[in-house]
Amino acid sequence: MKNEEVVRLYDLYANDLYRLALSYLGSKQDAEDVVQDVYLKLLNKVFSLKSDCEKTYLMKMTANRCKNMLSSSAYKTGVDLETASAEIACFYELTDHDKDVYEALMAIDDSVRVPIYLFYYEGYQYNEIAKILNLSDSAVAMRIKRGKEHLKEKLERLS
Amino acid sequence: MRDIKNLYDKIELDGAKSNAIRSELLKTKKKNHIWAVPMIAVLAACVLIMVIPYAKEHIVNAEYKSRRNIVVMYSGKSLEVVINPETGSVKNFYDINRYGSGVELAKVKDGRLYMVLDDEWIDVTDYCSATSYYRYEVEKQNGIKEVIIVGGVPEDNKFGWIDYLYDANGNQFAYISHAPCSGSYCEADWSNEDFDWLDIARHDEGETCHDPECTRCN
Repeated sequence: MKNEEVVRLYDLYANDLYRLALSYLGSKQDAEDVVQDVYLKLLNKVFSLKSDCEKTYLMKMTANRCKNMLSSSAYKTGVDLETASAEIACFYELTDHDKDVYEALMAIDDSVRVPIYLFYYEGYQYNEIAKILNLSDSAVAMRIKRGKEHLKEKLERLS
Repeated sequence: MRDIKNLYDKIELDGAKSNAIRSELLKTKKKNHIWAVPMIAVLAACVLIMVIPYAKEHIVNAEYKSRRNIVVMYSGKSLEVVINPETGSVKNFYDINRYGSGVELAKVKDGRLYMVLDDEWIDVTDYCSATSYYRYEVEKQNGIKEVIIVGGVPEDNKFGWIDYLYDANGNQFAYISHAPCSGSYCEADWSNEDFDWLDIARHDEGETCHDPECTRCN
């Protein structure tokens, strides 16, 4: 893919991919690295993306990259989510309430957290989330339902 | 959930890092794949030689499959369903495997009763008893809905499940049910009072028992 085309996609979707990566990994630095990797990989793709599916394709690439990262043994031992959360709260000057929401989100498992993010923030439908995360529609529905319950429980506990 | 939106609205790529990635994307040179072109051409030729004799058959099969509407239930039962495109109702259906594939939708683990859907285990013990059940609904293709019901108690295998299919108009057109068959509990014993939940669930799903004195039907 041409550099100009990749930069166009970067300007359009980099923040969306960053938020998705952050939902997976919780660490600002790692999320930035994932975004960079995804766009550098795009440079070597020989095809161009259709405009109606380019965002979904990029989200899928990001999700796969995050999953690979999470499954690597080096990553499992190297990230302290508490410090990472504090860094996010400080960097984005989050209010106490936002901080509570972020910590509650980070306290639930990423397999549930990411569908919650895609559904409530990105506004994707179950079938679109299923495509991005390689899951069945029913698994997505169940994870969102479970995530909502966990999140409610954690926020109640925090408040 | 508005909180999630408010939170993520504040989160964006760090400006300095964003600019650094952007300029790297502009200056990074694409990998040169020229060496791969002849190899790809040779491989493509080989694949074509092998594939062409089978291509016609596959195209015909694909067309046939697109007209068929296959619904696979969680219980493993598969149906070929013919849907009226105007009304969305099921005109006809054929069992591909009539009795499912032996998949159990209710299992007991560590004394707890679970609804098992693919790899998801939902603890339904607290929802279920001899007179109550847990209901799960999921939308399939073309407005078809699948409803799975688990009821009973984990003790002595006094539990079971039903797997229903409804068309887009809410009409039930297929179901499969099962209770563990160990000991004395087999299908014949579903009339036992330990399985009152089943009677209640079937009435709740709109089935009629054709008993003129039945208070649930009337």
